[in-house]
Amino acid sequence: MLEALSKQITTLVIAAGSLFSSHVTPIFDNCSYRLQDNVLVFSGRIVNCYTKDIEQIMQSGQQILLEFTYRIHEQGSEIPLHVNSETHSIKYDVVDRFFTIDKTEERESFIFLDFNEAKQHFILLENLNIQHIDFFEEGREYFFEVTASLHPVYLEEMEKNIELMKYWNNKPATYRSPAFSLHDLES
Amino acid sequence: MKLPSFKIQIIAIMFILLVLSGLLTRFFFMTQFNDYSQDITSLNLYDKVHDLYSKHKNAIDKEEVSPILTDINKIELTTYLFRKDMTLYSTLYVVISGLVVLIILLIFLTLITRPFNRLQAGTKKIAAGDLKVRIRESRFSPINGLIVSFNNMLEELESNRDKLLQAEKDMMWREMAQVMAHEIKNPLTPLRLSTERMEMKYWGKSENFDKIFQDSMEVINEEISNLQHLVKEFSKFARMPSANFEEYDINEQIRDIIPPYRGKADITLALDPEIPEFFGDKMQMKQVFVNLIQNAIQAMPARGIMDISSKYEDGAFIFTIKDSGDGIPPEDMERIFRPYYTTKEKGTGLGLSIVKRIINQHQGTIEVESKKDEGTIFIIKINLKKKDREDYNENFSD
Repeated sequence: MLEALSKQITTLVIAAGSLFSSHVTPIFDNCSYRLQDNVLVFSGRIVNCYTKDIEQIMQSGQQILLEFTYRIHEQGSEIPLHVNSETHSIKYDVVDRFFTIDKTEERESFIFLDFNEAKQHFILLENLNIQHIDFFEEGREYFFEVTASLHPVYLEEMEKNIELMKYWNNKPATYRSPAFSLHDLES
Repeated sequence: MKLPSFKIQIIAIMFILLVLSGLLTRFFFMTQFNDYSQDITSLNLYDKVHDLYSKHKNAIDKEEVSPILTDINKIELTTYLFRKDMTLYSTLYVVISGLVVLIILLIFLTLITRPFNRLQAGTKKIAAGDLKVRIRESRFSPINGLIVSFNNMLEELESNRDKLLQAEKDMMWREMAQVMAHEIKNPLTPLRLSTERMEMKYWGKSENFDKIFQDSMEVINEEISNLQHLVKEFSKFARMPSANFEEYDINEQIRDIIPPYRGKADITLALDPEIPEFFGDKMQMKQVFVNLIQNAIQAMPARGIMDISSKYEDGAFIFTIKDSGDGIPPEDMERIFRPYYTTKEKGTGLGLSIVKRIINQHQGTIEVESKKDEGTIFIIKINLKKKDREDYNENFSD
Protein backbone atom coordinates (compact mmCIF):
# COMPACT_ATOMS: atom_id res chain seq x y z
CA MET A 1 0.00 0.00 0.00
CA LEU A 2 2.85 2.35 0.90
CA GLU A 3 4.53 1.48 -2.38
CA ALA A 4 1.36 2.31 -4.32
CA LEU A 5 1.02 5.55 -2.40
CA SER A 6 4.60 6.60 -3.04
CA LYS A 7 4.13 5.70 -6.73
CA GLN A 8 1.07 7.92 -6.93
CA ILE A 9 2.83 10.75 -5.15
CA THR A 10 5.78 10.40 -7.52
CA THR A 11 3.37 10.53 -10.47
CA LEU A 12 1.82 13.63 -8.98
CA VAL A 13 5.19 15.28 -8.53
CA ILE A 14 6.17 14.41 -12.09
CA ALA A 15 2.84 15.81 -13.31
CA ALA A 16 3.42 19.01 -11.39
CA GLY A 17 6.99 19.12 -12.68
CA SER A 18 5.82 18.69 -16.25
CA LEU A 19 3.45 21.62 -15.72
CA PHE A 20 6.40 23.77 -14.88
CA SER A 21 8.59 22.41 -17.64
CA SER A 22 5.91 23.11 -20.24
CA HIS A 23 6.40 26.81 -19.57
CA VAL A 24 9.34 28.71 -20.95
CA THR A 25 10.77 32.21 -20.58
CA PRO A 26 11.61 33.46 -24.03
CA ILE A 27 14.39 36.02 -24.48
CA PHE A 28 15.89 37.97 -27.34
CA ASP A 29 19.32 36.80 -28.39
CA ASN A 30 22.04 37.94 -30.75
CA CYS A 31 20.49 41.41 -30.96
CA SER A 32 22.03 44.31 -32.84
CA TYR A 33 20.96 47.65 -34.26
CA ARG A 34 22.57 49.97 -36.80
CA LEU A 35 21.91 52.55 -39.46
CA GLN A 36 21.15 51.16 -42.85
CA ASP A 37 20.30 53.57 -45.65
CA ASN A 38 19.48 56.25 -43.06
CA VAL A 39 17.12 53.92 -41.27
CA LEU A 40 17.63 52.47 -37.78
CA VAL A 41 17.31 48.70 -38.22
CA PHE A 42 17.18 45.95 -35.62
CA SER A 43 18.13 42.29 -35.91
CA GLY A 44 17.75 39.52 -33.41
CA ARG A 45 16.06 36.22 -32.62
CA ILE A 46 14.00 34.79 -29.81
CA VAL A 47 15.40 31.80 -28.00
CA ASN A 48 13.90 29.48 -25.42
CA CYS A 49 10.46 30.05 -26.90
CA TYR A 50 9.13 26.64 -27.98
CA THR A 51 7.36 24.08 -25.84
CA LYS A 52 6.07 20.69 -26.84
CA ASP A 53 2.53 22.07 -26.82
CA ILE A 54 3.40 24.97 -29.09
CA GLU A 55 5.09 22.58 -31.50
CA GLN A 56 2.04 20.32 -31.47
CA ILE A 57 -0.19 23.26 -32.30
CA MET A 58 2.18 24.42 -35.07
CA GLN A 59 2.12 20.95 -36.64
CA SER A 60 -1.67 20.65 -36.43
CA GLY A 61 -2.19 23.09 -39.30
CA GLN A 62 -3.38 26.01 -37.20
CA GLN A 63 -1.98 29.38 -38.12
CA ILE A 64 0.20 30.88 -35.40
CA LEU A 65 0.88 34.61 -35.22
CA LEU A 66 3.91 36.16 -33.55
CA GLU A 67 3.65 39.91 -33.15
CA PHE A 68 6.69 42.14 -32.68
CA THR A 69 5.89 45.56 -31.25
CA TYR A 70 8.58 48.21 -31.12
CA ARG A 71 8.48 51.51 -29.27
CA ILE A 72 10.89 54.42 -29.35
CA HIS A 73 11.32 56.39 -26.13
CA GLU A 74 13.27 59.42 -25.17
CA GLN A 75 15.79 58.42 -22.53
CA GLY A 76 14.19 58.75 -19.08
CA SER A 77 10.61 58.66 -20.33
CA GLU A 78 8.29 55.70 -20.27
CA ILE A 79 5.91 57.32 -22.76
CA PRO A 80 6.74 56.09 -26.25
CA LEU A 81 7.40 58.63 -29.02
CA HIS A 82 6.68 56.07 -31.72
CA VAL A 83 4.95 52.68 -31.75
CA ASN A 84 4.68 50.16 -34.56
CA SER A 85 4.41 46.43 -35.00
CA GLU A 86 5.18 43.63 -37.43
CA THR A 87 3.74 40.12 -37.43
CA HIS A 88 5.14 36.72 -38.36
CA SER A 89 2.77 33.91 -39.22
CA ILE A 90 3.42 30.21 -39.67
CA LYS A 91 1.00 27.67 -41.06
CA TYR A 92 1.41 24.00 -41.83
CA ASP A 93 -0.08 22.67 -45.01
CA VAL A 94 -1.68 19.45 -43.81
CA VAL A 95 -2.09 18.10 -47.33
CA ASP A 96 1.31 18.82 -48.88
CA ARG A 97 3.17 18.82 -45.57
CA PHE A 98 5.20 22.02 -45.65
CA PHE A 99 5.34 25.18 -43.56
CA THR A 100 4.61 28.63 -44.91
CA ILE A 101 6.02 31.61 -43.05
CA ASP A 102 4.92 35.16 -43.77
CA LYS A 103 6.55 38.24 -42.27
CA THR A 104 4.86 41.60 -42.66
CA GLU A 105 8.21 43.39 -42.66
CA GLU A 106 9.24 41.35 -45.72
CA ARG A 107 7.35 41.09 -48.97
CA GLU A 108 7.78 37.37 -49.72
CA SER A 109 6.60 34.08 -48.21
CA PHE A 110 9.00 31.39 -47.10
CA ILE A 111 8.38 27.69 -47.56
CA PHE A 112 10.01 25.09 -45.34
CA LEU A 113 9.74 21.33 -45.53
CA ASP A 114 11.82 20.90 -42.38
CA PHE A 115 10.06 21.77 -39.14
CA ASN A 116 13.23 22.81 -37.33
CA GLU A 117 14.25 25.20 -40.07
CA ALA A 118 10.75 26.68 -40.06
CA LYS A 119 10.92 27.18 -36.30
CA GLN A 120 14.24 28.98 -36.55
CA HIS A 121 13.06 31.27 -39.30
CA PHE A 122 9.76 32.04 -37.60
CA ILE A 123 11.41 33.73 -34.62
CA LEU A 124 14.07 35.55 -36.59
CA LEU A 125 14.02 39.32 -37.09
CA GLU A 126 16.33 40.62 -39.82
CA ASN A 127 16.85 44.30 -40.32
CA LEU A 128 13.54 45.38 -38.92
CA ASN A 129 13.00 49.02 -39.80
CA ILE A 130 12.63 50.85 -36.51
CA GLN A 131 12.65 54.49 -37.68
CA HIS A 132 14.17 56.88 -40.21
CA ILE A 133 17.13 58.93 -39.05
CA ASP A 134 15.14 62.16 -39.51
CA PHE A 135 13.00 61.16 -36.54
CA PHE A 136 15.89 61.58 -34.13
CA GLU A 137 16.92 65.06 -32.99
CA GLU A 138 20.42 66.25 -32.33
CA GLY A 139 21.43 66.39 -28.66
CA ARG A 140 18.71 64.08 -27.37
CA GLU A 141 19.04 60.51 -26.19
CA TYR A 142 16.73 57.68 -27.10
CA PHE A 143 16.19 54.01 -26.58
CA PHE A 144 13.86 51.53 -28.21
CA GLU A 145 12.10 48.44 -26.94
CA VAL A 146 11.00 45.40 -28.93
CA THR A 147 8.47 42.97 -27.48
CA ALA A 148 7.28 39.72 -28.97
CA SER A 149 4.00 38.00 -28.09
CA LEU A 150 1.94 35.13 -29.47
CA HIS A 151 -1.68 35.54 -30.52
CA PRO A 152 -4.26 33.08 -29.24
CA VAL A 153 -5.18 30.30 -31.65
CA TYR A 154 -8.87 30.06 -32.40
CA LEU A 155 -10.15 26.62 -33.34
CA GLU A 156 -12.99 27.29 -35.72
CA GLU A 157 -16.20 25.27 -35.38
CA MET A 158 -14.98 24.09 -31.97
CA GLU A 159 -15.24 27.67 -30.72
CA LYS A 160 -12.20 27.14 -28.57
CA ASN A 161 -9.33 29.52 -27.92
CA ILE A 162 -5.88 28.31 -27.06
CA GLU A 163 -3.95 30.96 -25.19
CA LEU A 164 -0.42 30.47 -26.43
CA MET A 165 0.99 33.13 -24.10
CA LYS A 166 0.36 30.84 -21.14
CA TYR A 167 3.30 28.78 -22.40
CA TRP A 168 5.40 31.92 -22.06
CA ASN A 169 4.14 32.53 -18.51
CA ASN A 170 2.06 35.37 -19.99
CA LYS A 171 5.20 37.46 -20.34
CA PRO A 172 6.30 38.69 -23.77
CA ALA A 173 9.93 38.45 -24.83
CA THR A 174 11.46 41.90 -24.53
CA TYR A 175 14.56 43.63 -25.80
CA ARG A 176 15.54 47.10 -24.57
CA SER A 177 18.32 48.90 -26.36
CA PRO A 178 20.96 50.95 -24.58
CA ALA A 179 20.51 54.75 -24.73
CA PHE A 180 21.81 56.28 -27.94
CA SER A 181 21.94 59.65 -29.64
CA LEU A 182 21.84 60.65 -33.29
CA HIS A 183 25.58 61.15 -33.08
CA ASP A 184 26.03 57.56 -31.81
CA LEU A 185 24.03 56.19 -34.72
CA GLU A 186 25.99 58.16 -37.31
CA SER A 187 29.42 57.35 -35.94
CA MET B 1 7.21 8.48 23.12
CA LYS B 2 4.54 11.11 23.59
CA LEU B 3 1.62 10.73 21.19
CA PRO B 4 0.40 13.83 19.33
CA SER B 5 -2.87 15.33 20.51
CA PHE B 6 -6.21 13.78 19.61
CA LYS B 7 -6.92 16.61 17.17
CA ILE B 8 -3.62 16.13 15.33
CA GLN B 9 -4.14 12.38 15.12
CA ILE B 10 -7.62 12.77 13.61
CA ILE B 11 -6.42 15.41 11.14
CA ALA B 12 -3.46 13.25 10.09
CA ILE B 13 -5.65 10.18 9.55
CA MET B 14 -8.30 12.15 7.65
CA PHE B 15 -5.66 13.86 5.51
CA ILE B 16 -4.04 10.54 4.56
CA LEU B 17 -7.46 9.05 3.72
CA LEU B 18 -8.39 12.09 1.70
CA VAL B 19 -5.16 12.15 -0.30
CA LEU B 20 -5.44 8.43 -0.94
CA SER B 21 -9.03 8.72 -2.17
CA GLY B 22 -8.09 11.76 -4.27
CA LEU B 23 -5.17 9.93 -5.84
CA LEU B 24 -7.28 6.85 -6.52
CA THR B 25 -10.01 8.99 -8.13
CA ARG B 26 -7.42 10.80 -10.22
CA PHE B 27 -5.76 7.55 -11.19
CA PHE B 28 -9.09 6.04 -12.25
CA PHE B 29 -10.20 8.98 -14.41
CA MET B 30 -6.81 9.53 -15.99
CA THR B 31 -6.52 5.85 -16.89
CA GLN B 32 -9.94 5.94 -18.51
CA PHE B 33 -9.19 9.10 -20.41
CA ASN B 34 -5.78 7.90 -21.56
CA ASP B 35 -7.45 4.79 -22.95
CA TYR B 36 -9.90 6.89 -25.00
CA SER B 37 -7.12 9.15 -26.13
CA GLN B 38 -5.05 6.15 -27.17
CA ASP B 39 -8.01 4.78 -29.12
CA ILE B 40 -8.36 8.02 -31.13
CA THR B 41 -4.64 8.13 -31.91
CA SER B 42 -4.52 4.48 -32.88
CA LEU B 43 -7.13 5.05 -35.56
CA ASN B 44 -4.48 6.91 -37.64
CA LEU B 45 -7.23 8.90 -39.33
CA TYR B 46 -4.84 11.54 -40.64
CA ASP B 47 -2.57 8.97 -42.33
CA LYS B 48 -5.53 7.08 -43.76
CA VAL B 49 -7.13 10.17 -45.31
CA HIS B 50 -3.78 11.47 -46.51
CA ASP B 51 -2.91 8.13 -48.12
CA LEU B 52 -6.28 8.10 -49.81
CA TYR B 53 -5.71 11.57 -51.16
CA SER B 54 -2.20 10.66 -52.35
CA LYS B 55 -3.58 7.66 -54.26
CA HIS B 56 -6.39 9.60 -55.86
CA LYS B 57 -4.76 13.01 -56.21
CA ASN B 58 -6.20 13.52 -59.64
CA ALA B 59 -9.74 12.71 -58.55
CA ILE B 60 -9.86 14.57 -55.25
CA ASP B 61 -9.58 18.31 -54.94
CA LYS B 62 -6.97 19.49 -52.39
CA GLU B 63 -9.37 22.13 -51.13
CA GLU B 64 -11.82 19.39 -50.20
CA VAL B 65 -9.40 17.19 -48.31
CA SER B 66 -7.55 19.98 -46.52
CA PRO B 67 -10.40 20.91 -44.09
CA ILE B 68 -10.89 17.22 -43.25
CA LEU B 69 -7.22 16.76 -42.39
CA THR B 70 -7.25 20.00 -40.44
CA ASP B 71 -10.25 18.81 -38.43
CA ILE B 72 -8.61 15.46 -37.72
CA ASN B 73 -5.57 17.33 -36.45
CA LYS B 74 -7.86 19.54 -34.40
CA ILE B 75 -9.35 16.47 -32.68
CA GLU B 76 -5.93 15.05 -31.90
CA LEU B 77 -4.68 18.43 -30.73
CA THR B 78 -7.62 19.10 -28.42
CA THR B 79 -7.42 15.56 -27.06
CA TYR B 80 -3.74 16.08 -26.33
CA LEU B 81 -4.33 19.46 -24.69
CA PHE B 82 -7.35 18.19 -22.75
CA ARG B 83 -5.27 15.34 -21.33
CA LYS B 84 -2.67 17.83 -20.15
CA ASP B 85 -5.36 20.05 -18.64
CA MET B 86 -6.86 17.07 -16.87
CA THR B 87 -3.48 16.27 -15.35
CA LEU B 88 -3.35 19.80 -13.99
CA TYR B 89 -6.96 19.97 -12.84
CA SER B 90 -7.00 16.57 -11.18
CA THR B 91 -3.83 17.47 -9.28
CA LEU B 92 -5.32 20.78 -8.27
CA TYR B 93 -8.48 18.95 -7.29
CA VAL B 94 -6.63 16.68 -4.90
CA VAL B 95 -4.66 19.55 -3.36
CA ILE B 96 -7.49 22.10 -3.09
CA SER B 97 -10.18 19.68 -1.96
CA GLY B 98 -7.68 18.29 0.54
CA LEU B 99 -7.04 21.74 1.93
CA VAL B 100 -10.74 22.60 2.05
CA VAL B 101 -11.61 19.40 3.87
CA LEU B 102 -8.68 19.96 6.23
CA ILE B 103 -9.97 23.42 7.12
CA ILE B 104 -13.51 22.10 7.65
CA LEU B 105 -12.09 19.27 9.73
CA LEU B 106 -10.02 21.68 11.78
CA ILE B 107 -13.06 23.85 12.52
CA PHE B 108 -15.18 20.82 13.32
CA LEU B 109 -12.55 19.29 15.58
CA THR B 110 -11.97 22.61 17.30
CA LEU B 111 -15.71 22.79 18.02
CA ILE B 112 -15.58 19.28 19.41
CA THR B 113 -12.34 19.49 21.37
CA ARG B 114 -12.79 22.98 22.83
CA PRO B 115 -15.44 21.82 25.34
CA PHE B 116 -13.13 18.92 26.25
CA ASN B 117 -10.30 21.38 26.88
CA ARG B 118 -12.65 23.52 29.00
CA LEU B 119 -13.65 20.44 30.95
CA GLN B 120 -10.00 19.53 31.47
CA ALA B 121 -9.13 23.04 32.67
CA GLY B 122 -12.22 23.01 34.90
CA THR B 123 -11.31 19.70 36.52
CA LYS B 124 -7.81 21.05 37.25
CA LYS B 125 -9.31 24.05 39.04
CA ILE B 126 -11.67 21.78 40.94
CA ALA B 127 -8.74 19.57 41.93
CA ALA B 128 -7.10 22.73 43.29
CA GLY B 129 -10.17 23.28 45.45
CA ASP B 130 -12.09 25.83 43.40
CA LEU B 131 -15.68 24.66 43.29
CA LYS B 132 -16.96 27.96 41.95
CA VAL B 133 -15.69 27.16 38.47
CA ARG B 134 -18.34 26.49 35.81
CA ILE B 135 -17.80 25.11 32.29
CA ARG B 136 -19.18 27.27 29.49
CA GLU B 137 -21.87 25.43 27.62
CA SER B 138 -21.51 24.79 23.87
CA ARG B 139 -24.91 24.36 22.34
CA PHE B 140 -23.55 22.65 19.20
CA SER B 141 -21.13 20.37 20.99
CA PRO B 142 -22.07 16.70 21.25
CA ILE B 143 -20.90 16.72 24.88
CA ASN B 144 -23.04 19.66 25.92
CA GLY B 145 -25.23 17.31 27.99
CA LEU B 146 -22.15 16.19 29.86
CA ILE B 147 -21.17 19.82 30.52
CA VAL B 148 -24.64 20.62 31.87
CA SER B 149 -24.52 17.58 34.17
CA PHE B 150 -20.99 18.51 35.22
CA ASN B 151 -22.08 22.04 36.14
CA ASN B 152 -25.08 20.68 38.07
CA MET B 153 -22.76 18.33 39.91
CA LEU B 154 -20.53 21.30 40.81
CA GLU B 155 -23.54 23.25 42.09
CA GLU B 156 -24.42 20.29 44.29
CA LEU B 157 -20.83 19.83 45.46
CA GLU B 158 -20.46 23.50 46.30
CA SER B 159 -23.73 23.52 48.18
CA ASN B 160 -22.71 20.38 50.10
CA ARG B 161 -19.30 21.83 50.87
CA ASP B 162 -20.89 24.97 52.31
CA LYS B 163 -23.20 22.83 54.40
CA LEU B 164 -20.24 20.75 55.54
CA LEU B 165 -18.26 23.85 56.44
CA GLN B 166 -21.20 25.19 58.38
CA ALA B 167 -21.59 21.83 60.14
CA GLU B 168 -17.88 21.80 61.00
CA LYS B 169 -18.14 25.34 62.31
CA ASP B 170 -21.14 24.38 64.45
CA MET B 171 -19.29 21.34 65.69
CA MET B 172 -16.27 23.46 66.58
CA TRP B 173 -18.41 25.89 68.49
CA ARG B 174 -20.07 23.02 70.34
CA GLU B 175 -16.67 21.50 71.13
CA MET B 176 -15.38 24.87 72.27
CA ALA B 177 -18.44 25.40 74.44
CA GLN B 178 -17.92 21.96 75.96
CA VAL B 179 -14.24 22.65 76.61
CA MET B 180 -15.07 26.08 78.04
CA ALA B 181 -17.78 24.59 80.26
CA HIS B 182 -15.44 21.85 81.37
CA GLU B 183 -12.52 24.18 81.99
CA ILE B 184 -14.71 26.63 83.91
CA LYS B 185 -16.44 23.83 85.81
CA ASN B 186 -13.12 22.44 87.08
CA PRO B 187 -12.13 25.51 89.16
CA LEU B 188 -15.74 26.10 90.23
CA THR B 189 -15.77 23.03 92.53
CA PRO B 190 -12.74 24.06 94.61
CA LEU B 191 -14.07 27.65 94.60
CA ARG B 192 -17.46 26.54 95.90
CA LEU B 193 -15.88 24.13 98.43
CA SER B 194 -13.54 26.90 99.66
CA THR B 195 -16.33 29.46 100.08
CA GLU B 196 -18.63 26.90 101.77
CA ARG B 197 -15.83 25.87 104.12
CA MET B 198 -15.09 29.52 104.99
CA GLU B 199 -18.80 30.20 105.57
CA MET B 200 -19.22 27.12 107.74
CA LYS B 201 -16.13 27.91 109.82
CA TYR B 202 -17.14 31.55 110.12
CA TRP B 203 -20.67 30.83 111.42
CA GLY B 204 -19.28 28.04 113.63
CA LYS B 205 -16.89 30.54 115.19
CA SER B 206 -14.06 28.11 114.48
CA GLU B 207 -10.84 28.71 116.36
CA ASN B 208 -8.60 28.13 113.33
CA PHE B 209 -10.74 30.27 111.03
CA ASP B 210 -7.77 32.46 110.14
CA LYS B 211 -5.77 29.47 108.91
CA ILE B 212 -8.77 28.09 106.99
CA PHE B 213 -9.48 31.55 105.54
CA GLN B 214 -5.87 31.84 104.33
CA ASP B 215 -5.87 28.34 102.79
CA SER B 216 -9.23 28.92 101.11
CA MET B 217 -8.15 32.30 99.74
CA GLU B 218 -5.03 30.67 98.26
CA VAL B 219 -7.22 28.08 96.52
CA ILE B 220 -9.61 30.79 95.32
CA ASN B 221 -6.78 32.98 93.98
CA GLU B 222 -5.11 30.05 92.25
CA GLU B 223 -8.36 29.00 90.55
CA ILE B 224 -9.04 32.61 89.53
CA SER B 225 -5.53 32.72 88.02
CA ASN B 226 -6.28 29.49 86.13
CA LEU B 227 -9.52 30.95 84.85
CA GLN B 228 -7.71 34.14 83.76
CA HIS B 229 -5.09 32.08 81.91
CA LEU B 230 -7.84 30.07 80.24
CA VAL B 231 -9.66 33.18 79.12
CA LYS B 232 -6.41 34.73 77.88
CA GLU B 233 -5.53 31.67 75.79
CA PHE B 234 -8.98 31.45 74.22
CA SER B 235 -8.96 35.13 73.60
CA LYS B 236 -5.56 34.91 71.91
CA PHE B 237 -6.77 32.13 69.64
CA ALA B 238 -9.96 33.96 68.74
CA ARG B 239 -8.21 37.24 67.99
CA MET B 240 -5.10 36.21 66.15
CA PRO B 241 -3.64 39.46 64.81
CA SER B 242 -3.03 39.94 61.10
CA ALA B 243 0.43 39.00 59.91
CA ASN B 244 3.15 41.60 59.63
CA PHE B 245 5.53 40.43 56.97
CA GLU B 246 9.18 41.31 56.70
CA GLU B 247 12.41 39.82 55.44
CA TYR B 248 14.75 38.56 58.14
CA ASP B 249 17.35 35.96 59.05
CA ILE B 250 15.32 33.05 60.37
CA ASN B 251 18.43 31.05 61.39
CA GLU B 252 19.32 33.87 63.76
CA GLN B 253 15.79 33.81 65.16
CA ILE B 254 16.00 30.05 65.83
CA ARG B 255 19.42 30.49 67.49
CA ASP B 256 17.96 33.23 69.73
CA ILE B 257 15.02 31.03 70.82
CA ILE B 258 17.09 28.02 71.84
CA PRO B 259 19.17 29.13 74.95
CA PRO B 260 16.40 28.94 77.62
CA TYR B 261 15.71 25.33 76.59
CA ARG B 262 19.31 24.09 76.60
CA GLY B 263 18.93 22.98 80.21
CA LYS B 264 15.93 20.78 79.44
CA ALA B 265 17.17 18.83 76.40
CA ASP B 266 20.27 18.14 74.32
CA ILE B 267 19.57 20.38 71.37
CA THR B 268 21.40 20.00 68.05
CA LEU B 269 21.10 22.72 65.42
CA ALA B 270 21.66 21.97 61.72
CA LEU B 271 20.93 25.34 60.16
CA ASP B 272 21.87 25.80 56.51
CA PRO B 273 23.97 28.99 56.36
CA GLU B 274 23.18 29.42 52.63
CA ILE B 275 19.42 29.91 53.01
CA PRO B 276 18.14 33.27 51.77
CA GLU B 277 16.31 35.82 53.89
CA PHE B 278 13.00 34.49 55.13
CA PHE B 279 9.83 36.43 54.36
CA GLY B 280 7.24 36.18 57.12
CA ASP B 281 5.83 37.44 60.40
CA LYS B 282 8.70 37.37 62.90
CA MET B 283 6.51 37.23 66.03
CA GLN B 284 4.25 34.53 64.67
CA MET B 285 7.15 32.39 63.51
CA LYS B 286 8.72 32.75 66.96
CA GLN B 287 5.46 31.43 68.41
CA VAL B 288 5.63 28.47 66.00
CA PHE B 289 9.14 27.48 67.05
CA VAL B 290 8.49 28.10 70.76
CA ASN B 291 5.32 25.99 70.71
CA LEU B 292 6.98 23.13 68.86
CA ILE B 293 10.12 23.22 71.06
CA GLN B 294 8.01 23.30 74.23
CA ASN B 295 5.93 20.38 72.96
CA ALA B 296 9.12 18.46 72.19
CA ILE B 297 10.49 19.09 75.67
CA GLN B 298 7.20 18.06 77.25
CA ALA B 299 7.34 14.87 75.19
CA MET B 300 10.75 14.06 76.75
CA PRO B 301 10.31 14.22 80.56
CA ALA B 302 13.60 12.40 81.01
CA ARG B 303 16.02 14.78 79.23
CA GLY B 304 16.08 13.72 75.59
CA ILE B 305 17.60 14.78 72.31
CA MET B 306 16.14 17.45 70.07
CA ASP B 307 17.33 18.11 66.48
CA ILE B 308 16.36 21.35 64.78
CA SER B 309 17.23 22.01 61.13
CA SER B 310 16.64 24.54 58.39
CA LYS B 311 17.31 24.35 54.67
CA TYR B 312 16.21 25.91 51.38
CA GLU B 313 15.19 23.51 48.63
CA ASP B 314 13.31 24.02 45.33
CA GLY B 315 12.31 27.53 46.34
CA ALA B 316 10.93 26.50 49.73
CA PHE B 317 12.14 26.86 53.32
CA ILE B 318 12.06 23.57 55.20
CA PHE B 319 12.30 23.43 58.99
CA THR B 320 12.27 20.28 61.12
CA ILE B 321 11.94 19.87 64.90
CA LYS B 322 12.62 16.32 66.03
CA ASP B 323 12.41 14.89 69.54
CA SER B 324 13.35 11.52 71.00
CA GLY B 325 10.18 11.16 73.03
CA ASP B 326 7.66 8.31 73.18
CA GLY B 327 5.97 9.35 69.95
CA ILE B 328 2.33 10.19 69.27
CA PRO B 329 -0.13 7.30 69.25
CA PRO B 330 -1.45 6.67 65.73
CA GLU B 331 -5.04 7.31 66.82
CA ASP B 332 -4.05 10.85 67.92
CA MET B 333 -2.07 11.78 64.82
CA GLU B 334 -5.06 13.06 62.89
CA ARG B 335 -6.39 15.13 65.76
CA ILE B 336 -3.33 16.90 67.08
CA PHE B 337 -3.89 20.04 65.00
CA ARG B 338 -7.55 20.35 65.94
CA PRO B 339 -8.38 23.17 68.33
CA TYR B 340 -9.03 22.19 71.98
CA TYR B 341 -7.58 18.75 71.46
CA THR B 342 -4.93 17.91 74.03
CA THR B 343 -3.46 14.92 75.78
CA LYS B 344 -1.88 17.07 78.51
CA GLU B 345 -3.42 17.50 81.92
CA LYS B 346 -3.11 21.27 81.88
CA GLY B 347 -3.20 22.01 78.15
CA THR B 348 -5.81 24.05 76.30
CA GLY B 349 -5.32 22.17 73.04
CA LEU B 350 -4.68 25.36 71.16
CA GLY B 351 -0.89 25.32 70.73
CA LEU B 352 -0.59 23.14 67.62
CA SER B 353 -3.79 24.59 66.25
CA ILE B 354 -2.25 28.05 66.45
CA VAL B 355 0.96 26.73 64.86
CA LYS B 356 -0.97 25.27 61.94
CA ARG B 357 -2.91 28.47 61.52
CA ILE B 358 0.27 30.55 61.41
CA ILE B 359 1.89 28.19 58.90
CA ASN B 360 -1.25 28.36 56.75
CA GLN B 361 -1.06 32.14 56.90
CA HIS B 362 2.45 31.81 55.49
CA GLN B 363 1.03 29.66 52.68
CA GLY B 364 2.99 26.72 54.02
CA THR B 365 2.37 23.22 55.25
CA ILE B 366 3.13 21.39 58.46
CA GLU B 367 3.43 17.63 58.64
CA VAL B 368 4.10 15.28 61.48
CA GLU B 369 5.75 11.87 61.51
CA SER B 370 5.95 9.81 64.66
CA LYS B 371 7.15 6.36 65.72
CA LYS B 372 6.45 4.73 69.03
CA ASP B 373 9.44 4.96 71.38
CA GLU B 374 11.53 6.70 68.72
CA GLY B 375 10.08 10.17 68.72
CA THR B 376 8.25 12.71 66.62
CA ILE B 377 9.32 15.04 63.86
CA PHE B 378 7.45 18.14 62.69
CA ILE B 379 8.25 19.26 59.13
CA ILE B 380 7.36 22.78 58.05
CA LYS B 381 7.51 23.86 54.40
CA ILE B 382 7.04 27.51 53.46
CA ASN B 383 7.58 29.00 50.00
CA LEU B 384 5.99 32.41 50.43
CA LYS B 385 7.79 35.04 48.32
CA LYS B 386 7.92 38.77 48.89
CA LYS B 387 6.16 39.36 45.58
CA ASP B 388 3.18 37.33 46.82
CA ARG B 389 2.68 39.78 49.66
CA GLU B 390 -0.07 41.79 48.01
CA ASP B 391 -2.08 38.72 47.14
CA TYR B 392 -1.41 37.37 50.55
CA ASN B 393 -2.55 40.50 52.38
CA GLU B 394 -5.62 40.61 50.21
CA ASN B 395 -6.56 37.05 51.12
CA PHE B 396 -5.55 36.90 54.76
CA SER B 397 -5.56 40.43 56.11
CA ASP B 398 -8.69 39.85 58.10
